[in-house]
Amino acid sequence: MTENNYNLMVDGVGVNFSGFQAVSNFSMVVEQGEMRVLLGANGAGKTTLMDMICGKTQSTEGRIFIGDTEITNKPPHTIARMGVGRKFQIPSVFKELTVRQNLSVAAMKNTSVFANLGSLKRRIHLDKLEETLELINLTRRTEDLAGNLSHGETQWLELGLLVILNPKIILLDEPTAGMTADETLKTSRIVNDLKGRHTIVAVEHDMAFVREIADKITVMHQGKFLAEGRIGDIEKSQAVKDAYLGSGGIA
Amino acid sequence: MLKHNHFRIAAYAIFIVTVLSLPAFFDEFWLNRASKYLVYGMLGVAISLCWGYAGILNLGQGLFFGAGAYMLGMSLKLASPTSLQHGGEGPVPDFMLRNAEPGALTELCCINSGSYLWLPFQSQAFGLIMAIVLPVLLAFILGSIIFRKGVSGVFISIITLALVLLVRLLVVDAQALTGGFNGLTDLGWLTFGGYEFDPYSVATYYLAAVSLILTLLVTRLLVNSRAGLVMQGIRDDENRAKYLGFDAAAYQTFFFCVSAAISGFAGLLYVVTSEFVSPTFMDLAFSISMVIWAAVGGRGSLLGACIGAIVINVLGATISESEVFVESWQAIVGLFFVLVVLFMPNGMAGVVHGWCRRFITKPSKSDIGGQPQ
Repeated sequence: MTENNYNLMVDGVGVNFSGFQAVSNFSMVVEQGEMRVLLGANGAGKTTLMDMICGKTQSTEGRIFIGDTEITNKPPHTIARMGVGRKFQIPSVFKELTVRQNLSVAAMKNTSVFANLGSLKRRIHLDKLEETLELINLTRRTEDLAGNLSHGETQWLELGLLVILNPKIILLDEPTAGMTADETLKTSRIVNDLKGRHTIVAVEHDMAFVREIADKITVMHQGKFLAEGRIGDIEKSQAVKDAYLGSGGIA
Repeated sequence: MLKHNHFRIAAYAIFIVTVLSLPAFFDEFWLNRASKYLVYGMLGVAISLCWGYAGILNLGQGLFFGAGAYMLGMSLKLASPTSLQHGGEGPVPDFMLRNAEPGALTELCCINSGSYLWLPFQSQAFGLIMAIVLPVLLAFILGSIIFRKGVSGVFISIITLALVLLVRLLVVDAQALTGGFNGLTDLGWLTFGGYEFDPYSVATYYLAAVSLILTLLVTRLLVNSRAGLVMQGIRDDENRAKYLGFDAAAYQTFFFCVSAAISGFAGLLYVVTSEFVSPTFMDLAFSISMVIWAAVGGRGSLLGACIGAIVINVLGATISESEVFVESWQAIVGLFFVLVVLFMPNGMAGVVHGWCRRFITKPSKSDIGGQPQ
């Protein structure tokens, strides 16, 4: 049943952008509660893969499942309702709303228009909202516009939206991009808090961060599956070294 | 937040009291003009909701206004004494008689090939209902197509702009049914609940005033609701909202329809106060004017856009009637618009918001954020 099993299964997906095969015949299974990191050079297809999982890009081959439920090529909001949350590479929040209003949007119990014609004080997960403000360290900025937050704070706010949304599967696209060491540390605290409760797939280049959070790593190369394993295995893998020829491996 | 709300409540209260107390100071002639300005105020609210809150810049709002106006106008035309002068059975609009082919039966069912469409409009209740239903239906069809197809930004403006011109053309062309260029004139009075609304009466002014106040309050509740917040989120970042599970197109279509309903309502009230319907309601210039009113008043504020619409129209009417400016008043109103846009990007409401903020927040190091509009 999907209720108690929500691993993410990607089965031979691929996409062809009018002649350019960005991803081809890629498969992986991420177990429930696992934290998986996707590695690969620029253009390896990591973000495109995430786009296909969350419905932003229509795949041209293969199928994607959460547990037993197929989500291949459904509209983005439908996939989101089925339990996939996405954090974008460029932090994406509601800039002209306050921090609290941003989180309120994510905390709504129902997503349809007609169910939401009532007051903001009702049918909203208020307890979660307060908890999340603590977790993402923005309690002192609740009434500030999201557009006035710093880069790091914006990233945390977006993570906060996902925490409240509480999806089965979380896709994180470079959650620490552009962050200072200090901010990265805070971010790994937030991500570690999500671990275990959600199935997480993350794209990340910061190897210190990857060591901190990853259970298993999947390496992509030119749109294809290259290797998979624990971080030690990956660092030793000959295939990975060959793909990163000249750069002396991924570390 | 709470204190900010106090200012807002005060602003609404002042506006409502002012509008309701006008009959104490003006005679019926001026009240008739004032009620037209209030109708323009409703259009300001519709634009602010659609543009400021939902991020949809509709350059063809006149389509919904015109649809509402024609629907009630047809009913009021049939209620006019001029429609009963032909001597036959039942009412027939005078322009249909003038255009009728020789020997045609002078009855509404069959005086020309499309005149049977007018039959249900003998009931004013039908005209009133259709004045809201038709704009909403048009908005729903249009919205379902453009928002589902992911059309956004300037392309929506272009499509709506083209559409209002197209419909205007069709209305003018179907002269036998719509009165063509002349529109519908010599209309009867609205009769509702046994009461006749004389356009030059205090009652008709209050009809417009109460309609505007209710529209403002209901729209205010809507933008303050959860759906209103989601809509503003979609305006800021449509993708973010989608990936939180919200069907952006459904929200956009809904708010587009509400905006159309308000415009249709404004259209029907305009007909009640002005006693005519004209295809000029669907002129491009009129639809663009509405956007300018909202921009001057402040599109991010429902009350601001409403007051903006009223102020510009009062200003325009006053200037155009003084002998000095009789030729140049449009240039003056245009200049006023340019100045507002240059120096007050959030319109008059933005300036007032700024003043209020000085009273609420004592500047401190930790507080550098703004208030939502």
